[in-house]
Amino acid sequence: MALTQTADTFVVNHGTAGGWNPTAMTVIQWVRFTNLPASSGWGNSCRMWSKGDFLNDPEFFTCSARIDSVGDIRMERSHYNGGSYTWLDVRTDSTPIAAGTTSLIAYVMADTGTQRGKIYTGTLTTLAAEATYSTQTDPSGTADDVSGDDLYSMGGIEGANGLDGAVTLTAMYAEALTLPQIQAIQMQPSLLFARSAASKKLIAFHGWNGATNVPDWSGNGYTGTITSGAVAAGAPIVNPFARTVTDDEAWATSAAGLSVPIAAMHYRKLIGAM
Amino acid sequence: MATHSRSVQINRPDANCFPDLVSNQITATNEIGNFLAYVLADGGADEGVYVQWRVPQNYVGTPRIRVTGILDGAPGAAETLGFGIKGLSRADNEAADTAFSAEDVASATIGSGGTNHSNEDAYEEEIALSNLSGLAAGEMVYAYVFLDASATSYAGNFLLTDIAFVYADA
Repeated sequence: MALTQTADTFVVNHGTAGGWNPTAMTVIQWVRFTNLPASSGWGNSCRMWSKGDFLNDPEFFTCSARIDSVGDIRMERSHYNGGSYTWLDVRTDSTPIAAGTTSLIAYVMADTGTQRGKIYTGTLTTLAAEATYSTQTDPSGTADDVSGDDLYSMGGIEGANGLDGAVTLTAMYAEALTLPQIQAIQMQPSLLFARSAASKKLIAFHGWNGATNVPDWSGNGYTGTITSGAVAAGAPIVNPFARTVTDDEAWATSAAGLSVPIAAMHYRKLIGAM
Repeated sequence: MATHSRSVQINRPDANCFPDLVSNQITATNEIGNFLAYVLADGGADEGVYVQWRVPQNYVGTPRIRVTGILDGAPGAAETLGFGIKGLSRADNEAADTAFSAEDVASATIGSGGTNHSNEDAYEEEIALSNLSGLAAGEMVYAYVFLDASATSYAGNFLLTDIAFVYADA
């Protein structure tokens, strides 16, 4: 289960998310591109998420991430430093995203320290690992206040360079998760919910409520409004909510609505999956 | 005749109920805080989870649902907590896209004027299935189990940890 776009105006908007102004954050997404953006250059890249102006200024994102035509990922967070802007700017150079492959992307940023931005990618069968970078720039000054800006859990607005594919999950936390924590969530989706209430900002499984809206299961209730989106097949990750099955008669459905083998169910019991 | 109990599979929450660490909801000082539970709040509307189970081959009758969880908040003396279920039971070749049954509900006074539960107590409540009828061994049941807002005056959250199908064999 996932969402894909039906028009260039496609976004999922969760409002201001309680006035969240990220100083440390982790975003975890499961994505699958049918085709990567058609045109080269970051100005033509596909927007993946944003806390900030998503629609009106495609070249200037205060806190956001995007993917380009070769499958590289870029994450930015603008800062203001005594009259000029600087950016946390992280760009991969190993083209970690390929068309036709279901991928997990974890974007991690922090407002203090060095190497404040990191990007991790994995697949359904490969543990997440850190990407290599062409740019990994730390900003100076104070992070732009995006508390009044809307939070978008997905969407691409560049016409032919929009989202030709689907996003299954966007989870956002107000903390910088470590790689082992990200790997644990990758392999056991119920751990998405096992963070502090202060950390969990958004847990949005796209398509699980059809094209009506996108519920936020973080506990905050930041329901997403869908513009120009449609339900699509998504990453076949184990149903993160399924739990307490009935022994030999157990069966479950994956996010894509497919049967999960009994062996997988036993595995989920062993690892304590919810 | 013996009574059996089997936990059912919680397939997904509705749009208002969410999974959370128990320690995010109660001031847990022990390991129970590390568990995940579904948070059901009486926000003026029903909220709950979608469940499914296959009716066991030794099922004969007296079907019930047992809702189990933890109280998050001290109940007032006369405060009530109610739950409900609606659903349908399907055999092979029957139409799945069929309207759910009317609700089956149950409620109890959980404060000192009733069952005398306290804050952070474990809590169980059973609902007899009468409207959700026609269950037969081997059939699949698809249902929605919810905190019944119309029968709940308890102001705290209910931390749902299990739903079980309870029945009698021959």
